[in-house]
Amino acid sequence: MSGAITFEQLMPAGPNLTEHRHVPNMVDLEVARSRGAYEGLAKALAEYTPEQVTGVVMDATVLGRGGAGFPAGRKWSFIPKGPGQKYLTVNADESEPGTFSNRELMETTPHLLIEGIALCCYAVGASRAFIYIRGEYIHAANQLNRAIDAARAANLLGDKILGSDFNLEVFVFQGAGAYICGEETALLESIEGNRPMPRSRPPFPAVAGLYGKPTVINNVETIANIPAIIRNGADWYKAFGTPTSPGTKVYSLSGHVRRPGNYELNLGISLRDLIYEYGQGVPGDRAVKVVLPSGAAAPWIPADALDTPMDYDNPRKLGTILGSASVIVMDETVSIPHATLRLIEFFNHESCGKCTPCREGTLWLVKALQRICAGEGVPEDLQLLLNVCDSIAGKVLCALGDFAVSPVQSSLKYFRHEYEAMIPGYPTAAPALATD
Amino acid sequence: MALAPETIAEIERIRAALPEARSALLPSLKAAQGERGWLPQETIKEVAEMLGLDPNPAYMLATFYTMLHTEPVGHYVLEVCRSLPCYLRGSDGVTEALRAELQPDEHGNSADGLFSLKIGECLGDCPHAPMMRVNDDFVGPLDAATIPETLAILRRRAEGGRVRGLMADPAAGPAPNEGPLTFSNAIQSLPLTRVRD
Repeated sequence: MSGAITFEQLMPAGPNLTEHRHVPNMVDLEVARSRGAYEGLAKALAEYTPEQVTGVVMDATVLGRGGAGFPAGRKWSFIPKGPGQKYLTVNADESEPGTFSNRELMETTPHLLIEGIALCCYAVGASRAFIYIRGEYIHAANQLNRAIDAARAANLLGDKILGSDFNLEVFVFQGAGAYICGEETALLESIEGNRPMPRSRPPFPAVAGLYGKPTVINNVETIANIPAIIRNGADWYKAFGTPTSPGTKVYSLSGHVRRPGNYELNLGISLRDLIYEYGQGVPGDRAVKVVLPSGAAAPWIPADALDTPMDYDNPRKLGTILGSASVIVMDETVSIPHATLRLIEFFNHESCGKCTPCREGTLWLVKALQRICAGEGVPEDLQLLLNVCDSIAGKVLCALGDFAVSPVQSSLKYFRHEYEAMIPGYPTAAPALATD
Repeated sequence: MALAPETIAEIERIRAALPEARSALLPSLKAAQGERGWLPQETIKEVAEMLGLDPNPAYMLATFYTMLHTEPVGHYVLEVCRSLPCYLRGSDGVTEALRAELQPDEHGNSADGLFSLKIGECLGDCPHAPMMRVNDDFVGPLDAATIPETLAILRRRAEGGRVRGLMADPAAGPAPNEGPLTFSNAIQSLPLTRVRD
């Protein structure tokens, strides 16, 4: 080894999820237990009924970290009580461009996720859990399997866990390259051995999920928050973040920043602090042009709104969302139509093909953007782009189609002049674009 | 050609760990691909029949996922990320350098059969942008200027050992495990500029 400082070693440790990111060999059960792993599970099994575990999580108001922000405790409470097979599937598909926080968590501290899984399964009465991990995360899957084997050998998984009546088997299900598998019903289809295409809802997975049985689907980070909440209580958790967005969030920072990486920070940090204090600003001290708050998927945040607190409420005032908090920074040198084309190519590539508006619409967006970027656009193209967006959004089974239109709509909202400058003969007094 | 006994044992282990046979299909196809690098039609059929499933939907699965290969690939599958975070850091230049160096055919394969070049979407290693996946490993940040050196390191790793994919001699059995290819042990001679600017 060269002895070089690795990138991850430069990242600060956070108060909860990334507290032990620098501790070597946290996959080893003894090392993990010396740092408190499975204390929450032992406490829950000894002191709490399953309903009490759900109650603590509900009181803590853990908002779903995958992007939708749905309260995890409420989601768990939808699972029917009583006998009958139930499942937990953890969504570790993490394929949104610019999102890489779950991978680091699974690679460095896999026992944190496994303890969270055990707590969730105890709360909802599930005896089987799946971790659906994207196929490219091979090392993370290996780490999880090592951790699961060690936990089972120590009776932290398997039958009659720690002398209780609670049984649990966890299976790491590796995908094989498909963004759509992060959509929860496509994920279930993938585990069932079908082409991963979204289901229509209702029924929702809490009623009829995996193999038609009640199923909880939560993101990795949501589940990884649970052990510390059980150990320390809901009030401890609510001391972080804001009153309506409690807790910390791992922000994935990428693009034009000096120090990209995962930062676990209180919910509600401003983009300005994230980019300049933690990301150490833009290379060459160039100006920020625009920020994508949630990978390719969410509407953009312009440079004059960098003081927006990144919690679950404030981005809505700008018509966008916190989402997965995967923040991509673009500086002043970026050509917006070219960057937009690159984003739409992603959605066109990843559209599963089930719904015609998304399958065909994303292709037509790519073609129109390619034409504009090649200097061969016509003035009508800008209205055409918006019309195609309108034909996709809200007219498809899953969110991929809705995501795909945001880069086009945002770029035309904030940077229409860049498109106009690339279109030969664009009229100097063009009519306003109809947005609906 | 029938699957190796180790692969069959692995598929049986997967089947036993899952509640239903259909769920074992994707992991079993991946196990079969691990043996020879790609999935010929008869291999897909063999896997499906082992699990008591219809081969046709199995073929539909194999053609859906980007990591399952229904055509022969080289020993090294290079998946270069083109998504926005890598694009902003110059991934197009890296892709061009790889194309110039490998001169891939219309299937993305190099003439020596050692490499297959794929253009992929975000792989979740954006702090190391621009990056690519080399089989099981992530490599980055890449630089167009050092791509020839990177490929030379990979060629040296394959020398003398058995390889899989296009160059493989099926009678020789599975390729040996070369050990993980990580950024620090594979490309030590390249600049380790992790903090930018």
